[in-house]
Amino acid sequence: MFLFDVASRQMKWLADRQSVTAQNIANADTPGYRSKDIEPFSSVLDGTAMSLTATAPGHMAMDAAGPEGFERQAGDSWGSAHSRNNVSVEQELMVASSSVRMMSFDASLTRSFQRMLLASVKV
Amino acid sequence: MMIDPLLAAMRTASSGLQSQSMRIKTVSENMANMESTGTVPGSDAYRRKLVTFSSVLDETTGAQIVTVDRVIRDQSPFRTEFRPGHPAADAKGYVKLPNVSMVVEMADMREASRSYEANLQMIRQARDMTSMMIDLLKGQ
Repeated sequence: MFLFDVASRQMKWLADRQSVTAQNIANADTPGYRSKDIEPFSSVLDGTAMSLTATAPGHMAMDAAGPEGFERQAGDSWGSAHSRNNVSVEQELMVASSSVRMMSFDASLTRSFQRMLLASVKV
Repeated sequence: MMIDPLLAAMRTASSGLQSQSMRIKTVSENMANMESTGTVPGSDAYRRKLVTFSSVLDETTGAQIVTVDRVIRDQSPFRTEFRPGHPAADAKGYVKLPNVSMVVEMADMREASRSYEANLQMIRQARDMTSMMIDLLKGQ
């Protein structure tokens, strides 16, 4: 089912994003740490995310949007400190709460898909 | 990356909790020793402690967790006070007092507790997200 696929991919993406946000908050006081983010969901969905392809049997398989993330561009982060740390706890908490909201949305969406499916199966 | 990212998020946030509580502990040590002088004439007083953080790669989760790098001593000069009868007073009657400032420690403590709360919030949210997934299995 395509509907289930989209919802579960977004949930996977949200979990990855939550992991990166947790990294940012944990390192909010680490000198020199640069805040990170992951690829936007639209590019993951379109398949335009940059991913590494295994071209030889010895290559290790890697996820495109893993919890590693990449550094935010200079303008995208709200914070800046003398120690070159640009984590803004407020920004990260906003990202985190929006992830939770989206996750709750996806979960209820999945549940309603499931109800639709069950309704068509039952006679 | 074979581990659940939400578990990685909780692991990372708990490393933040650990580091921030270490910082609070150091602040309370400084506060407690605000008047700890030496006992021998001319001896040094308590030197303020500082924690430094560094981010390290956690092998199990692949996430960058935070650890307390080192606990260092603040090398700024001691406060001095004229107390001729004190056992730690030098020849001129001056006693070295610790280089701890109440205001600085309070500010440090506030920041540490704010970071602690933020990390706690991350754990709470990761747990909520996990329980949403589990609730899906419960059916209607």
